[in-house]
Formats: sequence, structure tokens, C-alpha cells
Amino acid sequence: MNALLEVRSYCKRFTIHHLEREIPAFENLDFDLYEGQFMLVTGPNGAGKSTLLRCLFRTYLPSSGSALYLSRTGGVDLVTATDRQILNLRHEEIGHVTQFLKARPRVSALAMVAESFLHRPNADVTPDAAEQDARELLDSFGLKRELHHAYPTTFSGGEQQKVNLAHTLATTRRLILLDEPTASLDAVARAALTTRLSLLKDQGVAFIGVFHHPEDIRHLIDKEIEIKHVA
Amino acid sequence: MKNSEPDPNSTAEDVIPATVIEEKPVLKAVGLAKRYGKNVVAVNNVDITAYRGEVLGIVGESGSGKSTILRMLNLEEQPDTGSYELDGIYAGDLFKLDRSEQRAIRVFHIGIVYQNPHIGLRMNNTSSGNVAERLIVAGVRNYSQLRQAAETSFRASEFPLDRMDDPPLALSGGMQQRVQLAKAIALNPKLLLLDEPTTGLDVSVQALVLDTLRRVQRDIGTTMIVVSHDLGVIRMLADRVMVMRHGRVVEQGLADQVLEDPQHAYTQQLVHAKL
Repeated sequence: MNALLEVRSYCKRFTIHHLEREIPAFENLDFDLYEGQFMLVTGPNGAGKSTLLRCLFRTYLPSSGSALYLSRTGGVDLVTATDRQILNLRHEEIGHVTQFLKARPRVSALAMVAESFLHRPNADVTPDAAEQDARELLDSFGLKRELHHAYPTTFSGGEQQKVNLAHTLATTRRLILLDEPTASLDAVARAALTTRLSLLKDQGVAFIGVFHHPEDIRHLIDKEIEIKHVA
Repeated sequence: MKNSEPDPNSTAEDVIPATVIEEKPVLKAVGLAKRYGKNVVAVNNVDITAYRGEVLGIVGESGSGKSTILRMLNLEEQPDTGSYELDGIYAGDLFKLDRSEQRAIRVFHIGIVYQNPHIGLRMNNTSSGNVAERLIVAGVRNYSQLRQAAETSFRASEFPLDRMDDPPLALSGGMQQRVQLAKAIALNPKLLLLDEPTTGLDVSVQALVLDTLRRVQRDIGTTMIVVSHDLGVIRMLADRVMVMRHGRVVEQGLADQVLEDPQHAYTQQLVHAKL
């Protein structure tokens, strides 16, 4: 079986022009990730754990190496793929859950999550069914019913994060990058997240995650990679 | 089988190469250049490619050439050199057409929203008349058809229908932009051009207009090019972005990548200067 993701000699350095210097983030990472696997990224603060996730999502541009991703249509190197290819993968296969919700003006929590259900690739869902699914998912994360129709822009950090998780995890992805998704969550929401992750994992979704307190998800972890400070 | 160690023998060759479907761009402009007088180089050898349903942002400081590019793409201005094709509209270089042919293409296939509504609208005519004008030029003559088409367009722009017979002069800045948008999308254009669409509007109105633009873009699936010096506008709307300076493209890429991990010294300066 081919790996879903095959990362070799992966490096990231930031060039800061006004300081005329390079800041290394991580160097020479090698790992393989298979369908349904959960990989935890460990290492001290500032070592480049989130940077690794952002590079794979191409929010940051990796400096060298390769990250061969086996998409539904064939192999793509995420380092050299065109912007159009990356946009398609983000739309259909690779998800990124950050600590912050990108709230949109005048879009309610429920509408935002329902949209994810509605816009799944090859989805055959009615708007009503999508809304029903969205309501159940938000309920499971413990978002109060009275907030479902409110705009998340004004929610607290934890409530926003519930919407964010529901929004991202509602879509069908094959690889999901999790950047400290539990940082601002209460116990109910953390439990719901664990349940959801475990369900998706059983369906073959692969995860790469950064967690400050990985206790909740310990049982899901298949492997770990440590990122050390580059000297 | 789950294998957690990297297999040193596995290489790219084991994997089926991606079936790269050569996607045909909707818009393809090559080698655009424009000079004013002897010394002013407004646009210097710029290539632009945009795909169906995508939003391309163009950022840069005043005088970087972004508005000149937009005027060329709207066929208002001829470049000194360069070619311009719109897929499915005309098989050939649009710059080679004569003025009346260019005008027809502009009317039927390109919509534009200017920063200054005075350029895009007749401020004393009714708003509905402004939108209908475009439809009339396109050959719609029946009054009720005109009225209906205008209404559809106003509704999509989230403009209050009970105000559609007011002249733009009597409307707020945000509403004037909605009239321009209604006019621009009246004929379902292939290409929608936006020149600083929210500059000069209140922050709260800005957010609403941006939100409308996103909806319209998603609903009609048009290709959109938005020029702005405001990185927030670009972040909210664009899929890909081009950064311009002194008439040249200094950097381009995915919008989030260019804004969060800018590579060029000028882009870094631009991003760090943001409030």
C-alpha cells in the first residue's frame, strides 16, 4: 500500500529581508502517513510544529524537500504543486483546523456549518438535511441552541472554536491538519471532538495534529514525530 | 497493512502520477505593457491568468499600475504591447478588435465596479435606469422584461427594491456600490472587474459589501479580478493574489500564502505595514 503522504528532507526557513537574515523553522523531516493514521507532532514551543502544518497546507511555502500526497487523482508533490492544484486539494481533500474561526459577517453559526455539509464534493444533500446535520453536530459540541442562529463574530473563543471544528470536520476530507484544536474547549466539546475524530479515523481519514494536552486523544495516536529546535 | 516507518525504497515512481487535467484559463493576458509619455512606465510586461470561478486579487501601492491593468482588461485602454484572450468569447486577441467590437464585448461579457461611482453611473438618472441601460444596449426592449431583469440584478446585489427608482445621487456610498454591482452583473458577465470596490466606505458598510460580493461570486460562478491596496479586502475575497510594484509583478501565489509567508522584500514590507 502506498502512503497517503510521504515526506522527505522537508525544510522550512523564513527569510526576513529587513533583518537580512534567515530563521530556520525545521530541517530534514522524514515521515510517512497512511490512511486512517493519526500522527502527533511534539516538540518545545517555537520549534515549528504549527509551521509544519502550515507548510503542508501551503499557507507557508516550504523551502525544500518533498511531500508526496496521494490524491484521489494521483500523486502530487505538495511542495511544487501549482496554486490551482492546491486550491482543489483544499476544497476536496485536505483540511486545516486552526485555533481561530474565520467568521464571516452576517453568516450564522448554523448556516456556516450547514454550508460545509452542502458543499461536500459529490454531496447529494438538501439544504434542510444539511441544516439538520449541522444542528446535530453543533449540539454534540455543546453549542447552545440559542447561539445557532447568531453570528459567531461576537462569540467567546471557546464557542467560536466549536463552530470552527464543526465547520471543518463536517466536510469529508482525507487528510486533516489539527493545530491545537482543544486549546480553548471545555470538557464536553473536547469529548465531542474526540468522538468525531475517532469516527473519521475509522472511515480512513488521516490526521496530523499538534496538541498541548494530548491526554484526550492519546488512544487515537499511531505515531509521533518530534521537532527539535534547529541549532 | 499499516506501516509506520518511512520505506527508503519507496519513491515517487511507485505512485501513479497525478492526472493533471490541463485546465483552460478563462482569461489570459500576456506581456501587457503601457507607457505614458517618455518616462512613465505604468505597466511593464505583466502576464495574467485567471480561471473559472476564481477570484484573483491585485495589490500594490498607488501608482503601481494596478488600475491601468484593470482598464486594459475592461478594453477601455489599449496597451502598447501585449495580447488578451477571453475563452469562449472570441478566438483571438481582443486588443486587435476595433472599438465597436470591443465595446460589444465589454457590454455583454465584462462587468466592472469602479471605486468612484460617478464613473460607473449616471448619478441623476434612476438607479433602475442605470441598470436597464446596460440591458437596452444588449437588445432587451420589452419594458416588463427590462424591469424584471433589473429587479433580479438588484436582488442579487442585496439592494432594497423599494429604492430602485431613486437616483444614485440620493443614495449612500454603500448603496451606490450595490447599484454599480447590479449593473455589472445584469448580463451574467464572464469577467467581473472590481477597482477598489470598498475604499471610502465605512468599515461596517465595507464588510456588508464584501459579503455581497462573495455571495454573488459564488452564486454566478464568474471569474473576478479585484484590485485593492487593502490587504484585508484581498484576504477576504481572493483565492490567488498578484503583488505589483512600479508596473511589475513582484510576487504571486495563494492569497493566504502571500499574506502570511511573503517571499519578496516589498511584499514583506507591505504586509508588516498593515494596521
